[in-house]
Amino acid sequence: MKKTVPAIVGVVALTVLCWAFPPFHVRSLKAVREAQADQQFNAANFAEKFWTETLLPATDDADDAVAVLDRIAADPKSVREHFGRTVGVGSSYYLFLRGDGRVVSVDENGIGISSRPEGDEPQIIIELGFVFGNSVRDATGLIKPSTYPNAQEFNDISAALNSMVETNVLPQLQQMAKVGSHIHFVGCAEVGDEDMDLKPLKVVPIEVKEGKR
Amino acid sequence: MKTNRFQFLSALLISTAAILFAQCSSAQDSAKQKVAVVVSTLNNPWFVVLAESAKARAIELGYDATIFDSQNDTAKEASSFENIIAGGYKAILFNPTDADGSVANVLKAKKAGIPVFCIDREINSTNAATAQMLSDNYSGCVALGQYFVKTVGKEGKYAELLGLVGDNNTWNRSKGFHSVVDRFPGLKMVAQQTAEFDRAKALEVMESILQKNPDLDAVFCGNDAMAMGAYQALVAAGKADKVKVFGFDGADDVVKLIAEKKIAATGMQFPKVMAQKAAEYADQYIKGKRDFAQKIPVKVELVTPDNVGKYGDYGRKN
Repeated sequence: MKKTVPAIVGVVALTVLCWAFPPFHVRSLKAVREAQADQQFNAANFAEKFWTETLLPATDDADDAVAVLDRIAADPKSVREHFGRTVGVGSSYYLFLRGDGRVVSVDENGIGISSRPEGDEPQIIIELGFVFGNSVRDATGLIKPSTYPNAQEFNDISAALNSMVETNVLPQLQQMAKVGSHIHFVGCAEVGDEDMDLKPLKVVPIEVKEGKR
Repeated sequence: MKTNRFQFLSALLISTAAILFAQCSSAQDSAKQKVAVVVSTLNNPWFVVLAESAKARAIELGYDATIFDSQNDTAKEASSFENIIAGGYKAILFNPTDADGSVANVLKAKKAGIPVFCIDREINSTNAATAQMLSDNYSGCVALGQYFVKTVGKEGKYAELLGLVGDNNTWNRSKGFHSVVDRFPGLKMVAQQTAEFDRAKALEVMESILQKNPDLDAVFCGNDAMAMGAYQALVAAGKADKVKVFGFDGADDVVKLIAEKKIAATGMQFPKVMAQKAAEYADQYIKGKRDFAQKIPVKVELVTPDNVGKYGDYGRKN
């Protein structure tokens, strides 16, 4: 009896200790995987939120397309200085522009637009089909590479935004694109270097609607 | 006798002056601050250019600079960092071996008050290094992927040689390339294997891929050393004219083969620009500057037979 009491007290004390400070936790593998997935960066969700809450409200800040086109016509090498946005170090730069134009050509590769009242030569080409590159992510300066610990996340944002252009904007553009019609557009462009031919300027659209005549 | 005394005094004066001059010069040398250049490997000419350019710019800026070779081994890298911290270095120009594995080393240096400037390869942290000067690998490979579709066509069989699987650059390049090529279902990837950025391994891996896939149309390699190894295997198999090789880096030997139309294209990184900028940032830090952007992407440019004349010596020709 003398030996039993301390043993029972010990077991009770150990039980209370384990209850208060459990040495391990049992969690289902499914719950752990779900928690890990929740913590992972979801580029598609980010892009959707960014598109509606940040990008579209910023379209008023885009440069006037006519001013950019005039500068291209007058002195293409000075476009960077006046309108370009550079990310990091390199010879390329981005443009963020908006304007109205007349559709002067439509084919499977793209839609040609001119801001001039006459003539059939396109000043801007909005390419149809797959969207590649970083112009939508980088042209506005609203997304900074330093915010992301991993370059893969930053790159995934580009792919997700390009996918939104393909899904949300290009079908709408194709519907309204008829030679002679007028459209309003906001878009982004990447210029490889100062030697690149900017006539016409290739633009990735983020917003299109019927324009003023 | 007088002449002897005069000679003795002259000799004494000259030797005293010489000793003083030597001491003074040695004091000036020891006052030079030290900058370390830690590079993932020196077994690849591209990284030799990176390390030597960083060292040369640091010396130009008035520092003593030493190169530490990690030999693609994080344990060796960790040991170099310990020596650097103990050795009183003022800054580290760092080309990491592993995006995750190298973070602890950078944090150790940070704790010791030594700024670390990553070059070319990133670490998976935004609060360890002072700044990271990184090649925009993904975008470079998006451009390569577009050129790949243009030259190979929308149908064909291709292989991919990956770099080190623990390195973010490996996946940034692969993902950039696939973000384009995977949109074309007619382009089938029949093999994807790592050759660890190594020319000799790429030669072996390519030989094995060719045995299983004799009807290959193209091979995309995650760096130029592997592109050279793959090209060597194709030459040995008599298929160099049939299989298009795409590399990445802008190494001189590949740029020369692009000019000869033997290799299809590469992405020109700018190792000299990155290394020199990193050395300049370290100098600015030592002189008091603290506000650096954490990640500074460096544009990668597509080099093809059409524009190869613009490139050479690991960059753009002046």
